[in-house]
This record gives sequence, C-alpha cells and structure tokens, in this order.
Amino acid sequence: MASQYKQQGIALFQVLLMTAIIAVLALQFTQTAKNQVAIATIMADRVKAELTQKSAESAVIFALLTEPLEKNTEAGSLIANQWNFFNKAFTLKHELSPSTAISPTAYNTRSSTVATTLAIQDMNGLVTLYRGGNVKLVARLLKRFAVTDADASIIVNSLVDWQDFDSLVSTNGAEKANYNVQGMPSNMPLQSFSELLYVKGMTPMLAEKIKAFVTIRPQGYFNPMNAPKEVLSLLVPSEKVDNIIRLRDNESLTINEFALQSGIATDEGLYFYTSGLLRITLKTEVNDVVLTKQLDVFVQPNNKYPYIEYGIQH
Amino acid sequence: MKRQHSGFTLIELLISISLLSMIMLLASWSFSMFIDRWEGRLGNFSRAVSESKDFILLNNVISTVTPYVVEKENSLGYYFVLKQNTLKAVSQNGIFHTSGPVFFKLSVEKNLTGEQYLLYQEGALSGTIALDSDLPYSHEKILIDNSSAINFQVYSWQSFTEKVASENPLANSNKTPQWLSEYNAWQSRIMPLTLRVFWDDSSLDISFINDQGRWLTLISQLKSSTTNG
Repeated sequence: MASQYKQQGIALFQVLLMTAIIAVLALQFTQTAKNQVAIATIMADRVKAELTQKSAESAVIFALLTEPLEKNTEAGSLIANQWNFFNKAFTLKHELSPSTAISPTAYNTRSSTVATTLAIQDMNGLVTLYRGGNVKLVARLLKRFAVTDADASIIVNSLVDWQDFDSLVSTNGAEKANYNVQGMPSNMPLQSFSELLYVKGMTPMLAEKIKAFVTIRPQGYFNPMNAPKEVLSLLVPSEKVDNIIRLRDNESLTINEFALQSGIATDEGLYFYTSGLLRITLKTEVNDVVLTKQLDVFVQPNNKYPYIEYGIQH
Repeated sequence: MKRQHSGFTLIELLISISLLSMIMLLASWSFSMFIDRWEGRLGNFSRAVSESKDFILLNNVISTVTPYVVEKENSLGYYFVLKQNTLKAVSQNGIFHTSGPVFFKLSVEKNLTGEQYLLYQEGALSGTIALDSDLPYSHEKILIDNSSAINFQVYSWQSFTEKVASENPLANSNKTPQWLSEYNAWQSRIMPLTLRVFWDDSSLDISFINDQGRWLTLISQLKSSTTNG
C-alpha cells in the first residue's frame, strides 16, 4: 500500500506543478490586462476631456460674441449669467457639458466626473509690456516683487530698447552690443511672453511672478476695474484695495462705486468698461485627466473680423 | 498478485511516456502559439498607444502654430515655409520646450528599408529668426514611422491681397483659399489656415491660430510710422 501512495504522489506533484505554471501565467495576463485597461481608460478620458473643453470653448466664444460683456443673471446664456472679467474662476453648468449626452459604452460604464472651470481676464486690466508699455507702471509692478530701483530701471529701459525699431541705446537700456547674440534684441514688439526672459535684467523667476499680471498685447485703453489685486495696488492705496476687491467678489461693485473708492477718474486711455481683449483659461477635468488651455483673443462682434486669436497655450 | 499491481511493465512505461510527451508537445506548441498571439496583441496595443501619443503631440504643436513676424530685406512677413515636404514654422507649444515658443521643422525622411518617417525637430525661440539660415534645432523625435508615403498640404489664400480682394463685394474676385503643397508666408504675407498631413491611407487636418493678419498689419504700420516719423 505504501508503495502505491508514492506513485500517486508523483502525479500529484505533476498536477501541482502545472497548476502553478498556469496560475503564474494567469496572474501575468490579468496584470497586463489591468494595465492596458488603465492606459486605454486614460486615453478615453483624455479624448472626452478634449471634446468637453472644445465645446466649452465654443460656448464661451459664442457668448462673448452675442452677449454684452457684463454679468447678467437674467441672461439666457448659461455662461453670461455667471461670468466675470477679473479672472475669478467659475464652473460651467452641466447642460453645457456634452459628456452627459454620451451614453456610457460597454467598455466605459464607470461613472465619470466631468467638470470645466473657466476664468476670463480682461487684458485691459493688466499691465501691458507692448513697446515697453507705461514705463512707470511697469517699474512699479517690478518693484512689488522685490526688484531694486536700479534693476527695475534697467529692465524697463531694456524692454523699450528691445521693442523699438532703432539701435539707439537709451539710458540704462540695452541694444545689440549688450546681448551679443544673433537676433537679440528683436527690435519688434514682443511676440511671446517667453521672449521677455531674454531682455536684459530679467530672470526666469521674476518673469514667472509677473506672468499673471502682464500682457504683451497693445491695449486700446486701461481698465483698472478688471485689474488683479496686485495691479490695482499699484494705483490705489492698499486699505482701499481690499474693500474694492471685496465688493467686486460680491458682485456689488458698480462703476460709480469703483470711481468713488479708488479715486481714479476716467480720461482718454482709461475707461471702466470691459474690453474685447480677453484671456480665457479653461480647465477641464475628467476623472484623473486634467486639461488646461489658455486663449488670448480679441472679440469685436461688430467688426469684419469678429474673433481674432492672438495665442493659444496648452 | 500484489507484486503485479505494484509496478509497471516496460510496455506500460513506454506507452505512458509517449502519451505524456505527446501531451507535452501539444501543450508547449499551443502555449507558444498563445504567447505569440498575446505578445502580438500587446505589441499592437503599445504601438497604438504610442501612435496616439504622437498624434496628440503633433496636434498640440500644429494647432498652436503662431503668426510669427520676421523681417527679411527690410520687408516684414510671417515665418511659415512649406517646401518639398518640409515644413518650418513657430509654435507656442513645443514637445520638449512646453512653456515657450519654439521654432520647429517637420521633414519626411527615408530609413534603410526605403520606408518613410516623419522627423520633428525643435529649438527654443529666443530672439528673431533669420529666414534663410539653418536654425539650431536642439531636440528631435520621430512622429510617424514606417509609412509608404507622407505628404503635407496647407489650405490657404495665395496672398494677403487676394484675401482682401475677396472681402470686397465690389471686386468680384471669386477667389477662395486653396490646397497648396508649396507655401511661403513671408512672401504671401498671410498665414495659412489649415495643415493636412497624409500618410498611408490616412490624413489629418489641423487648424492654426488665426489672427486674420492683424499682428503683421500692426507691426508693419508701427514700423512705417516710426521710420517715416
């Protein structure tokens, strides 16, 4: 009897071995399949995010071209009844999100979270660097970020020299001889924000700090009412700024109220009306995928060219 | 009797061994076939993934092609050259320099087996671009590989004046944008609208940033007023 059991033991051993091999293979297969599903899901989510973002972009452009540029809670447009032009983010209502219309498919039955956040900044409320901009204002902005008077003077004057068409070096400025690199300065208006990095005196860290508060585009006029807090502080005493920002966030800041609080009076080149020169930031989230897009546009509904794209940043 | 039960005869052993080896053979053969297929699918999957990644990158670069003004022989125009299946332009999103504008070149090259591939080269943009010189491309990547034929076309007006004429209702120019395989936006003074890439049996259309020629108009006016005044 004992010898019989020994022979059966070998068969058992074989069976165990085979089972082990098959189990290892099966494990490997499930692991790979899991990975593939994860990758494919991310891909699908990305496509979904891209389409959702595209729809949101179209909806926002449509609203900009058809609605007055002010918040109107009575507006039929789901964007115009909640938008603002001082870069305060707002979430798009679900009706605008096409993803709700797409029925879940066999491979994608899990519930997904889809959301698009929008922020619109009137670029007339920013500090323009176009052709050097308002030199005093630019210098004041730089000094806010711990730049010394001397350095600020070098940067603003070099910025003017970089963009003017001549080769005359202004005081504290910089022309060809100071750069010694082919193509610098461009002697043309800045064509991208990153070009600023190469201007004498500018550092990548400083550029990053001022990025949200400047524009390289020409402004028809300046509109401090839509300016970010940091820019408004350059013009208005700080104790007033907080009050103005609080009123603006509560949506109770009228033009008269702003003029009264800030002490700024309109003149040629300074108005309190939202312009069509806008920076639109779209952030779309689909599960773990986050897509951001920034558009610099000029909207003028009554012009031959109602919609002009200056730049797109992904 | 007990003894007979306890062991195997030679014949039994031979039969069992041959049976077993046949099973093993069958098992290993089907196993290798299975693995081959599995890996083939894996390969297909990873190829599909990397292809879609490449298309996303290509789309990011092309869709943000910028109307970038350059000067040559005292005349201003846009930097966008399509010549002999080589495209050169400026984009706000590079593949390698993600935050800044880049100058890039898309060219169709041949590998050793005679198949074509799409080579992408880019460099960070610092000052201005000299139109005819070779640019210092610092990074490169293959975007479409092993294709029988890759081609580019742009959808564009022939020139800025043609576009302006088409907008004038009295001029009756009857001109529309066309698909062109050679294009120089410095000469035409207007950016093309769309790029079409053909490869094998597929094609892809990607639109550029469209500023309606405003940036060039602005800089040209500025320049003439400064130099005259």
